[in-house]
Amino acid sequence: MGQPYIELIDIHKSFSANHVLDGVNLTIEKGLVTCIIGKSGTGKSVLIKHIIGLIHADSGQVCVDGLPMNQMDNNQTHRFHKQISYMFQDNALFDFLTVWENIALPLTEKKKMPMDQIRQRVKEKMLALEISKHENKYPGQLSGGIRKRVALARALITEPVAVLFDEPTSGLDPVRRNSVHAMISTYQREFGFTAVIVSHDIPQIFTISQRVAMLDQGKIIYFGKSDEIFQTDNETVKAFISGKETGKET
Amino acid sequence: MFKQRIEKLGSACIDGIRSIGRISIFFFQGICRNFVPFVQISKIMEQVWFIGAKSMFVIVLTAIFTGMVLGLQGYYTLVDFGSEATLGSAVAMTLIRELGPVLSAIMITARAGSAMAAEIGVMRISEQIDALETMDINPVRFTFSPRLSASIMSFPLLTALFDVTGIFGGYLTGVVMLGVNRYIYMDRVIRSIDLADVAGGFVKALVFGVIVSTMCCYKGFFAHISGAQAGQGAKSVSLATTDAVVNSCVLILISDYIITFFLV
Repeated sequence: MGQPYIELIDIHKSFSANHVLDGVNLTIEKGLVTCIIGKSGTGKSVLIKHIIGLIHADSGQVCVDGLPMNQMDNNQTHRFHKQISYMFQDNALFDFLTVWENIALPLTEKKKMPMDQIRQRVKEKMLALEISKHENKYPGQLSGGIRKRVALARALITEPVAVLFDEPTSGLDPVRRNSVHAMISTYQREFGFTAVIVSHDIPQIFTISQRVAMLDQGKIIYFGKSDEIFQTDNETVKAFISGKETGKET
Repeated sequence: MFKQRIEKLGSACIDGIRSIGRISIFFFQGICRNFVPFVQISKIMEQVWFIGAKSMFVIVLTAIFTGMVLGLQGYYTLVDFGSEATLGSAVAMTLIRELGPVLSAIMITARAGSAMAAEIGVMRISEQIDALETMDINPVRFTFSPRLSASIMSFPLLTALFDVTGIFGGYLTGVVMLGVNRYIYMDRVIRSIDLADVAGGFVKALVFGVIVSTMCCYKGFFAHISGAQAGQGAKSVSLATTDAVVNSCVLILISDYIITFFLV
């Protein structure tokens, strides 16, 4: 067991009469890749949005390094936000900014780093992700795969401690899907960040993650090492990873 | 039945109070965040270009025809009393005190205000505003503050342009078409307008600038709430844009009355 970085404790969340999360407990360990799987509509994205603070729980706590988020003062919240990045399912790139401006945005908006250093860092990220030739294009002029890479570059530009990926490969063909997985894996090893990935890419996602959590009917029904998931006795997990219908739709 | 109606009324009142609270916080955040941690000069200039410079054509076009109509109507009304010589005063005072600030604000709302609401609304539904939050960038500062500053700068200037062009429009019909003496027309314009009239128009333009930018940005920013029944898609953006334009125009007219009440 690694050192816990983010802990979700008894998280409950409802949207009107729809109970999405019903007592979720999950520990994200430092430096590891944790993958969250589950059927569509089970609240995986809602769950990771609790970590970044985009959604607030009805009850329960999110702790970072043992400190509950709702007890953090402004400085601690800002510090946490600086440490963490989020890659949206649909990329959420700014369509009125060029690729370069999109990637540099988290740094240029703060004005805490000299422009030369920002240029250098953006250049490095673009080179690493092979998007240098697109730097002056707008997101609307790019293919889905390139947009994902731009979103990844933006997520990594602040050199975060943790990156949350919300279905990073949705809408990509198998080749591009594998390349995004390889990219995440490579960069995770290189920069050593903690990663949380919401994904439907089973079993490929297990090859790049060390921990797997499965969300079903508002609860984490499986949490363990990714290479042990195939030995689980849990029928729902077994059915899900083998692509069988269990008859319980959420 | 009666109880249900009371409940609905109560719920509508609570929603209304909540909206007023939300818009007030939004406005004050927009003002305060303008200067902290630094003034976003390039973004403000970009918005001055979009709200101000790009609205000039439509302002000139509206103003010239407004002035021409005022000249035409004014002339045929005044000529019955043998006072057509005062046409310059009538056109100038109507434009500088009332029509200039109000019509230019409504035209800017239609051209730039709707665009502000739609652009920010699309940012909201495509999670770009959420992305700003995750990057620890204040979304109100990023979306609203530069537009507010740019509106405060642009509205008075566009109103001044409207006034001058409108007076010229009145000159075209009164002097060029209907034969009023041009020296008398210009003399009446200059004599009838004093600094208080210009200052009043300036104050109105400032207030309208604040109202339009705040209302349009607010509606776009909270498009996902205002269009809750329509979901969070394109429909919610179109509803937000319509609301923004209608509410801005109504508030312009209401505040115009209130300001005029205190100025006269």
